[in-house]
Amino acid sequence: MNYKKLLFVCIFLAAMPLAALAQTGEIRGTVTDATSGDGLAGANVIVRGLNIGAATNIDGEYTIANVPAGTRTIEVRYLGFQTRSVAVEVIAGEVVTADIRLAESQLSMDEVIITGTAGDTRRRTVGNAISRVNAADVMDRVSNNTVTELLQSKTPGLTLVPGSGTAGTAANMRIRGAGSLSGSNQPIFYVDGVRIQTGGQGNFTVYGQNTSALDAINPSDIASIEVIKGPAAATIYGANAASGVINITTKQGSMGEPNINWNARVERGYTSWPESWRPTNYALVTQDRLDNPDLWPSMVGMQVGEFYEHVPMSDNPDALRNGLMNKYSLSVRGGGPQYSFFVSGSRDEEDGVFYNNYSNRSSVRGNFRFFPSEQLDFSVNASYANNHVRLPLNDNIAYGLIISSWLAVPGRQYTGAGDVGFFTVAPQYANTYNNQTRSDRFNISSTVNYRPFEWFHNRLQVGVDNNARRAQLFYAPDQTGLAPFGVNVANGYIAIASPKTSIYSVDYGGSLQFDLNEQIRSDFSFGFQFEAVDFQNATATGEGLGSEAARLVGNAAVTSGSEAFSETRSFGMYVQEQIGWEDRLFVTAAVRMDNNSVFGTEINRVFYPKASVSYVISEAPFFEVPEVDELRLRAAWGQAGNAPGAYAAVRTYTTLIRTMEDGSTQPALRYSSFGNPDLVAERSSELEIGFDLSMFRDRLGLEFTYYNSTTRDAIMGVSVAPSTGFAGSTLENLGEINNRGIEAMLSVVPVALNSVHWRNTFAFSTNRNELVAFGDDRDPMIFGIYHPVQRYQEGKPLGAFWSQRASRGEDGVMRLEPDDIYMGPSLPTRELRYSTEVNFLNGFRFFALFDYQGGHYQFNVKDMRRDRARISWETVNPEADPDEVAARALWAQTYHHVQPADFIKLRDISLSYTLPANFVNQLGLNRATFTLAANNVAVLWTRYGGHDPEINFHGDATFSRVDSWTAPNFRRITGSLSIDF
Amino acid sequence: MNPIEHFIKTIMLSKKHFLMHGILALLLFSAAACDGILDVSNPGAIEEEELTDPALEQTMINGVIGEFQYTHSYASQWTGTVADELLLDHTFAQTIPMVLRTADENNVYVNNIYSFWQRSRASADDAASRLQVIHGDDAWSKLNMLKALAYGGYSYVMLAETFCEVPINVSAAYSPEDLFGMAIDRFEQALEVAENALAAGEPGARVEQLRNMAYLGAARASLNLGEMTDAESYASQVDEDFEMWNRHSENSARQYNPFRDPTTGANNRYLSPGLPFQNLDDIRVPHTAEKLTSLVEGTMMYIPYQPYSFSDWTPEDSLEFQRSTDVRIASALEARYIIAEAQGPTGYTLNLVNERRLFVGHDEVNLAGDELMAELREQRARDFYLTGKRFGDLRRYINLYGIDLFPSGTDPFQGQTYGNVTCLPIPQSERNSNPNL
Repeated sequence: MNYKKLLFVCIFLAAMPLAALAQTGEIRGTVTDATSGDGLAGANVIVRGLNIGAATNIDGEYTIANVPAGTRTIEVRYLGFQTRSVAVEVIAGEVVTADIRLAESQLSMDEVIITGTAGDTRRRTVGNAISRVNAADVMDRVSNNTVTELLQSKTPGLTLVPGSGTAGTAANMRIRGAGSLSGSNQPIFYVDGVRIQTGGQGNFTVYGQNTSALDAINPSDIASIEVIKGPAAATIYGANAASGVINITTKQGSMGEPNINWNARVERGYTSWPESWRPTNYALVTQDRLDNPDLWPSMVGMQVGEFYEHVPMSDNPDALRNGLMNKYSLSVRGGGPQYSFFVSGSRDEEDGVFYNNYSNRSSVRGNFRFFPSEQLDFSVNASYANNHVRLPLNDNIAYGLIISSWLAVPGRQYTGAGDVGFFTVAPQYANTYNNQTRSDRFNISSTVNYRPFEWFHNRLQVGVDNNARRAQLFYAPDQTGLAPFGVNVANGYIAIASPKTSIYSVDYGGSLQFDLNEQIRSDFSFGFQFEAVDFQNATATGEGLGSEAARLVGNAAVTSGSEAFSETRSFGMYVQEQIGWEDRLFVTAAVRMDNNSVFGTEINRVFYPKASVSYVISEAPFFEVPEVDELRLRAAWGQAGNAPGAYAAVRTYTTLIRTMEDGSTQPALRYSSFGNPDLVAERSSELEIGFDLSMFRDRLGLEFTYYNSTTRDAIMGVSVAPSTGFAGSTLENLGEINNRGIEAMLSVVPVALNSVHWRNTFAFSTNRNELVAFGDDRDPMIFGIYHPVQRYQEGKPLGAFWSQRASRGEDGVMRLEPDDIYMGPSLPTRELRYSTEVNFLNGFRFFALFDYQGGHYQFNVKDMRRDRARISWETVNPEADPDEVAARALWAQTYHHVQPADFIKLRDISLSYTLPANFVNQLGLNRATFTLAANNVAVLWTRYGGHDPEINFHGDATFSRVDSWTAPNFRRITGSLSIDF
Repeated sequence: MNPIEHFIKTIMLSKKHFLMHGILALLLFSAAACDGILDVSNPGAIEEEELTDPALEQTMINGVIGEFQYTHSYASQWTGTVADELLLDHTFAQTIPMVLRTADENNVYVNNIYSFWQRSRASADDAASRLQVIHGDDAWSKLNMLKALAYGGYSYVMLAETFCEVPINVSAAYSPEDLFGMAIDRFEQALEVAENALAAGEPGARVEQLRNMAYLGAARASLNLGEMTDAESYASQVDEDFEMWNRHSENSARQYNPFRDPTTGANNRYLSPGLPFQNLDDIRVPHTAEKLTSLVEGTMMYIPYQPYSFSDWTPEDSLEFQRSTDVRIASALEARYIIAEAQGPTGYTLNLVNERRLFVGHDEVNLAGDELMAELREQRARDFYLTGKRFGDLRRYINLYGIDLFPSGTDPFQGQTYGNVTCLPIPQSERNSNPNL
C-alpha cells in the first residue's frame, strides 16, 4: 500500500466515529408522578432493544446520549408506578425531548418487600398479604406526631386503641385480633432490620396512662412501614412474631449523578378540648341550698325548682388550655455514583390541654450507604432521640382534675383542696403535680450485603437499640395545709427511676438464586438471628424534703431504694426454599427453629413451619380478560410463636426489708414467682387465602384476604393457688384462641385527568375472636376495675363484657338481678376506613379520612358515677322513668354503663397547596407546599353514652376497656410549610 | 447445548448444590451447639435449691416473722370492717361489700387476706421443713424452729378464725376445727422445742417469749374449739408480763402501720369506729370529738385514734396513728380473758371485768350469769380493739353461744342493708387453681 492510500485509510478511519456520531441523537426529558406532578428520582429509562438507558435524577430528569437515529421506543419503569412506553423520533445530531408521566400502580407486583430473608423479594412471589404504609406520603397529608398516629386507620387488620388524648401516652395495638391471654398481643418492631424496644418508658404511675417508647421515633424520618400480619407471614421472625411484625424503613439518599436536596418544614398548631365534647351536670335549686349561699354560691339569684347547669372545667381558666404544638425539621439527602446519604434533625414540641402535660422530642438521624463494588455494599443507620414527657394526674385517682370536675355537684363550694366545680382538687393544686420522664434513645444498625457470585447473596445486619430513661415524681412540701395529694407526700416527696433497655441483634441471611431450567427458578434462603435484651432499673425515693429548692433523694429525711434486672436471649435459624415457574407461579416452604432463655428448663427448642403459593394468573397464556390488568391468587399457612417474659418459667424467692421483733431492720425471705418448668412459647397457626386485582388500567384495585388463626398452648396467667404460699399468677400453656376475619382494600380512581385526579380508598376488616378452650375445666376468669365486668370465658371473645342489670322486685325494692348479661366484645369486630384524595388545579390537594369501628363495648365509669351522684340529666330529668333512675344509681348495677362503642370519626382532613414550580424556582427553591390539617376532627356518630368511645383508662392495657376519668383524644389543627431546595 | 457449555453448567450447578448442602449441614450443627449463648443471670432472685443453704437460714426465718406481721396488720383492718369495729366510706367499689358483710369469693380484699395468711403459713411450714434439712435432728432444739412453729401456729389460728374453710397446699378444704387442731399441734411442737432450746443454750428471754406465745396460741385455739378446760390450762401458763408486738417502721410501705393512711388527711380519711365503739367515754377506744370530712364528699365521720393496744397510746392523750406505731397482738391480758371466758360467769370473771372498768375510770359492776359474760365480751372488745381478734370473737360467740353481735340493719354511710357474712369464703383465685375444691 503506498502512502497516499495509507493516508486515505487513516483519514477514513478517523472520520468513522464522526460519521457515526453524525448518525446519533440525544433523548432528554423528565419523568413525573401523574398525580402530583413531582419528579420521580431513580426511575429507569431504557431504549428498547439497544440496551442503553439512564436513571432519573432527584428532579426526575434524565439524559440518554448516543441514541441511533430513527424511531425508537423508550420504556420507563419505577416501582409502585405503571410502566410506560413512548415512541420518539431520534434525529441525528439533535436533542429530542420526551417527558413522561407515570400513574401509580395499584398492585405493584414487582415491588420489593421485606420478608426477613436476604436478597430482594418481590411482592408477586409472596403467598401472604403484606400491607405497606407510605409514611412519607402520609406525613405530607396529615398532622401526625408519632408512629402510633401514623399507623392509625391505615391498614386493614391493624387496630389501634389510643388510650387518651394526653400528650406522650401509649396506645394498644392489635393485628388480626388478640391471639394471647397473658402474652403480648403487640407486634414486634424493626427499624432498618434491627429489633427495637416498644412498650412503656417506665414513667411513675399516674393511675392510668403510660408513656410509649415508640414516641422516640420521628415519623418524618420514616419512608415506609410494612405490616406483616400473622403467623403465615411472620414465620421467619420466629418465637416472638405471632402477634405480627412491623418493619419500619427510614429514608435513604439517592445514588447516581451527584445530587443533594434539602427539605425544611415548619408546622404549628394547637390541640383543644371543645366544651361541646364535655357533658353537662345538673343540680336542683332547693330552698335549703338558697338559704346557704356560702355552700351554694352559684345558685344565688336562682329560683327553687330550677336546675343549675355546669359543664366541667368550663369556668376556671387554670383547668384547660389550647395546647400549642410546634414542629421544626431539616433534612438533606443525596448521593453520588457509589454512595448515598440522608441526614435529618427535628424538634417537636406538643403541649397538652392540661397545664402540666407536654411531650417534647429532639431527634437526629444519619443514614449512609456505600457501594464500593458491584459485589459489596454496606450501610450505617444511626439515630438519637431525646424525649421529655410530663403527665398530669387523671384516670383512676381521686386527685385527678377530670374526676374532680366531673363529679362536682354544680354550684357547690367544696372545701379543702377543692373549689366551686372541683370536689377533690382545684386546678391551681392539680397543676402542681410533677411527673416527668426523659429518655435518651440511641439506635444504630449496620448492614453488609456481599454477593460473591450473582446467584449468591449474603446479608449481615448488626444493631443496637439503647433506650435510657429517667423518671421523676416530685411533690413539693405542702404550704397550704390542705395536702391536696394526700398526707403521705405533704412533707415533700421525690422518687426517681432509671430504667434502661438495650437490645443487641445479629441477623445473617443468605440466599442462593439460580435457574433450574428455562422455566423454573430456585431461591434457597437460610439464616440465623440472635437477640439479647437487657433491662435494668434503679429506683430511689425520699420523703420529708426540707424545701422545694432541695429536691434530690439525698436531701430527704427518709430514703429507700430498689433495683430490677432482667436479661433474655433468643436464637433462631431458618431455611426456606422457593420455586418459581415462569415468574408467575411461586411455591414456598420454610421452617424456623427457635430457642429462648425464657423457655422452661424442660424445653430445648421449638420449630415453626410455613408453606405458601402465589400465582399471577393474569400473566397466564389462557387468561384473556382485557379489563383485568393484574390478578394474583395467593394462599399461605404458617406458624409463629409468642414467647413469655423473662424468668417466667423459674420458681423464685426474693428478699424484702422487715422490722423484726426487736425493732431491728433485716432482710426477710419472700415468696416471689411460682414458675413453670414446662413453659414454652405459644404457637399460632394461620391459614390465609386471598387475591390481588387491578382493573381498567389501574383505575380500580382490590386486595382481599381471609384469615383464620388459632393459638394453641396459649399462655395464661393462671391464679396460683394461694394455699401454696405463692400469690398472684403463674404462666401455663393451656388454651386455644381463634381469630378469623376478612380484610379488603378497594382503591378507585374515578377521575384521572391532567387537571383533576381523584382517588378513593376503602379498607374494610372484620375480626371474630374467641377463647375456644381454657384447656381444663376452669371457671370463667372475671376481672375489671371498679366492677368485675370483663371475662375470659370459653366460647366468647377475650375480655368480653358482662353486666348486671337491676330491676324492681315485687316488694318494690330495686335490686340486682341474679344473672349476669353478656354484652359483647371489648375490641371492634368490624372496621371501615374511607379516605379520599383530590388533586386539582395544578397544586391543590384535599384529603380526608373517615373511620368507622363497631361491634364492641366500653365501660363508661364516668357516666356511672355521675348517675350515682345524681348530677346527670338521666337522673335529674323530672320526666325520667323512676325505675331507670333508681337502677342507674344502684351500686354494682352496670347494665346501663357497659355501652356499645360504635363510632364514625372524621379522623383527618387537610388541604394543601404546592406553589407553581416556575414561581418557587425564582426564589431558589425546588418546591414549596402549604398545608392546613386537622386530626381527630369530630365524632360524627356514636352509640356510646360519652363523647368519645376511643378511650381507655390504661392506654396500653391488654383487655381492660374502661373510661375511668380519662382524657379523650383531642382535636388538633395545624398549619405547615414545607420547602425543598 | 455444546459439551463445553453443558460441562460448565453442570459444574456451576454442582457448586451451588454443594454449597446448599454445606449450608444445611452448618445450620444443623449450629442448632445443636448454640444453647450456651442463651444462658442468662437473675441476680434479683433466689431459686428453690438455694433455700437449704445455711447462710440463708436467718433470712428465711425473718421472712416468717415479716410475713406474719404484715398480714396480721392488714387483716386486722379489713376483718375489723366486716366485724363491728370499723365503718368505712370509700370510692373504690370493692371496699363496700366488706363493710356491708356481702363480700364474695371475687372480692379483692377477701383474696388478699386469704393469700397473705396462706403465705405466712407456708413460710412458716416451709421454714420448719428446711430447718430439718439444714440441721437434721438438731433442728428441734433451735430457736429458729421455735419461731417457725409459733408464728406458723398463729397463722393457722388466723385462717381458722377468718375463713369458712381453708385448703392447705392445694388440698381439699379443712374446717376451722381442723385448722385449730393443726394450730394446736404446732404449738405443742413449739413447746417441746422451747424446752430443748433452753437446754441447748438458746437465748432464754427469746425462748420464753415464744413459749408464752405458743401457750397463748394454744389457749386461743382451744377456746375457739370450745375445749374450755384445755383453753384455761394453756392460758394459765402464760407469764403475767408476757407481751408480743407487731413491729412497724417508716422504712418502706410494707412496714407501715396500715391504720395511719386511712385515718389521716382531710380528703383522705375513710375509716370510722363502728357504732358499738363510738362515744363510749373509754380511753381505750378514743376517737375524734367531732365528725370530720373524709375521702367521700359529704360523708362526715368520727376518726379513731390509737387504741389501747397500740404502742403510742397513753391514758392522757389521744394520738393519731403513725406509720411506725407498733401493735400488741398477744399478751398476758388476753390469757386472762381466755381463762375468764373458759370458766364462765365466775368470780374470776367478775374481778377481771371490774379491774378493766376501773382502769378506765368506770364504776365497778356486780353482774352474774349472761349479763356478766356480756360485760366480759364488751371489755374484751375494748381492750383488743383493732388487733385482729374481733372478727374471730364474733364468730365464736355465734358458734359456741348463739350470740350474734355482727352489725345488722342499715349501714349508716352506705344506706344499704347489711348482709350475713360471718366468715370469709375461699377466694376465686384458689377455686380456679385447686383441683381438690
